Amino acid sequence: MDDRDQELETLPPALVSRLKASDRAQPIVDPRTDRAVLDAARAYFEQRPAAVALRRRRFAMPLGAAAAVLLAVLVVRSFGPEPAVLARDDVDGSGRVDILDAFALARAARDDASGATAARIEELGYRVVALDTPRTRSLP
Amino acid sequence: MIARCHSLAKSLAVLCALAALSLAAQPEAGQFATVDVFVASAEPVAAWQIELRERRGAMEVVGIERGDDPTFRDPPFFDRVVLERGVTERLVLASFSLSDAAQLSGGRVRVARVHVRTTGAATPDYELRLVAVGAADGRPIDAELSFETQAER
Repeated sequence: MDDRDQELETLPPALVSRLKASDRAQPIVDPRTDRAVLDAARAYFEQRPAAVALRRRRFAMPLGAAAAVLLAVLVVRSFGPEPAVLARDDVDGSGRVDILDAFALARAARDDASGATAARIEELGYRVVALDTPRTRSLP
Repeated sequence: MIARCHSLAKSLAVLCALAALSLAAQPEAGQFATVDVFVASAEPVAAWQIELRERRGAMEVVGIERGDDPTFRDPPFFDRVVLERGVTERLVLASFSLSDAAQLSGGRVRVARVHVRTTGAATPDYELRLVAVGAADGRPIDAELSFETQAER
């Protein structure tokens, strides 16, 4: 009989029975349980980032395209000719500005159908041949 | 007397050698040429716009004249920056005439002459693009574009 059994004999029987029941009820976590929990957790978290990445890829293309379009519009609006200017220069209403517009302006001035001055006609003529502007200036 | 002749001959030889060296040391002068632009159309052409390109980007424009029709402006509209740049890749030309259709030339008409300076051994590689052609009433019309080059003396 060891010291522990001797101590139990000195205790009241009710307490001894409750202590023994408490010892039996204590959960035992062995390494297999640990591994199973770990595997389940890994499986769960490995699936989650993949789903998130898939969602990101799905939206990446349309979002990128929209951003590019927005950027292009901003650049054209910032550095391109004003639409109002193009519309004013498109005298013949062809949808683009070229020498035929300066010609139309000159004919109208000759026929007194417009208040276009020679300076305005010259200015438009030189603008359509300017090398720093796009090759074909079309209305948006 | 003979000694004087010898010294004179030596002096002449030295002068000739110096002249030859001087010519060889001059920078490459290049060659001048003209590019005549023609527009051919069934209707008389009253307005035109073209773009002239040199595919290697080595075109030095030294002058521009109008074509054969004296009622068109001389020179045609062009960006004067091409004369300042020295070498340019492209040139846009345009012009119009307020003459009546009966006074305008029909068929194949030389509308402009471009004077260029070429350097190096490679032959210039020109390309023409028709931007717009119009009749006397302002209507856009169909036309064909061509060019001829000729070396200048």
